[in-house]
Amino acid sequence: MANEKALLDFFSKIESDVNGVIATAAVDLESGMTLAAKTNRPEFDLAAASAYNSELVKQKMKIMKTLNLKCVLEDMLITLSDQFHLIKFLPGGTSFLYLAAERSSTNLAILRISVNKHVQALS
Amino acid sequence: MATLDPRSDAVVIRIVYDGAPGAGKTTSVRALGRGLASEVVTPAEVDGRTLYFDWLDYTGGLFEGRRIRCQIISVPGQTMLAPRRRRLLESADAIVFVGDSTPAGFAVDRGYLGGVRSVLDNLAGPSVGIVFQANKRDCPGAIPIESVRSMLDELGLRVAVIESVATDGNGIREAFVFAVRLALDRVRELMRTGELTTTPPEVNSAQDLLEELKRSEAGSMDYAALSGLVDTRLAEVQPDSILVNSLIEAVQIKEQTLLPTASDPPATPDGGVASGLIWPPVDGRLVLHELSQSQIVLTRSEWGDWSGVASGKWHLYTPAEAVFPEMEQGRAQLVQAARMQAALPRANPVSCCLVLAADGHGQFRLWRIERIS
Repeated sequence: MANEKALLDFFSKIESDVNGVIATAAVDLESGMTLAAKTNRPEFDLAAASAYNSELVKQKMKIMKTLNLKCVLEDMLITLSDQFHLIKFLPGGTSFLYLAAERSSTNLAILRISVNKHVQALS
Repeated sequence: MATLDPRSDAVVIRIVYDGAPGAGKTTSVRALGRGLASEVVTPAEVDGRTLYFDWLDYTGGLFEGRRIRCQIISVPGQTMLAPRRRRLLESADAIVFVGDSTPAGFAVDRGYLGGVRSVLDNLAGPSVGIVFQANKRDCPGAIPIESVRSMLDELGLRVAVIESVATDGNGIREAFVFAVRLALDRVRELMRTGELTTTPPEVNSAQDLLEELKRSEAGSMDYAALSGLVDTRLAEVQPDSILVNSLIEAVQIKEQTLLPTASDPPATPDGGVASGLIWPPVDGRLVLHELSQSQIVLTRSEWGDWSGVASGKWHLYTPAEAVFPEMEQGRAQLVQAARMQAALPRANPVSCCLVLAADGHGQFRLWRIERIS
């Protein structure tokens, strides 16, 4: 597990590349607890979102297992009417990044490129 | 003890922060509270010392579709409050042991870890996991992390080690999340064996826990709190009142006059210590004989603890709280500490001894003397 300071630095780097970031968290997959969290909208309940997204990731992994898929889950991209949500496994595979951004301010390609670029530094 | 709360459909777990006095338990819990945007409640504290516990309630994460409610508690580290510490440890689902990375603190950690082990060994049910949060990593001369791991191996403890600087909040969240994972492993095992109760937790708040502790102690710790630091009973009833503040101030002044100053160190134990005041009796006496032939310079920590080194072989330590006006009071503490120590694997030759000795100022001090490896 990366420490909180390193994770917050990681979030800042993404924010400097991407416009419209609403909230970012590093989430422990097992417990759904946040290892680091940063939100730009106080009303966005990042702890709850992180917890439920950990279930989402676990369910996806169960589906993959059921389908006997021998591949790796890299990331999950969720498109809402006004937001993008991106989930990306962090090095070590026990935690993941959860990021929510405004759809009107960015696009998925920029989001993925930035996250993929900076996630390397955490390993 | 973990429960499933049917009212909130949450699994309630307890994470207990343990460690020696001044290791950074309260600082860690407060740093965690800041990070989680949750308030820490400390029922009684004087001069930075926790007399009962720190309490932090946080709900986050999910376990089997249920929210996880964490009761995060730190124990009082003072020797005199050991029974209180033990009671809180017994209620843990996972323990974060806050270790002090400074050389003096590190020597004390071993004894406290031995205490944790003896508590856990006597608990029924699935094992309680420990995270060793190696704190004060920014201190000059911090003990190498390999030495920490060696000590844990010697004690036969399988624990995860996470480095931290509690004053900066570094490593705190990581240690906490790891402890939650361990607690959930325990909950899973309790579920498997049908031992997990579905009932609202008996303790729901800091106030509930305070009342539970007081009930179970039935006043037995009042003297300890009094002699260790200060009588806090009024402070609990009327926190922040003018009367309480003046009392605290008065007691602090009294405390300062009771504690030896930098120019007034306590006498170190020597071969003249009476039998019955040394553990282990024979080997301990031999250690004292060795000490009496060497020059020992004591240094006082900011907390009022005294420590020193004899012949480069022995480390002596006495915490600020381990001062007793009467020999019998000190003897009770000696017996308790010796019981904890006796639960550890016996080293040959002896690597640790405990001594109650006159301090040269009309009182008695409990000393811990450890072989420097």
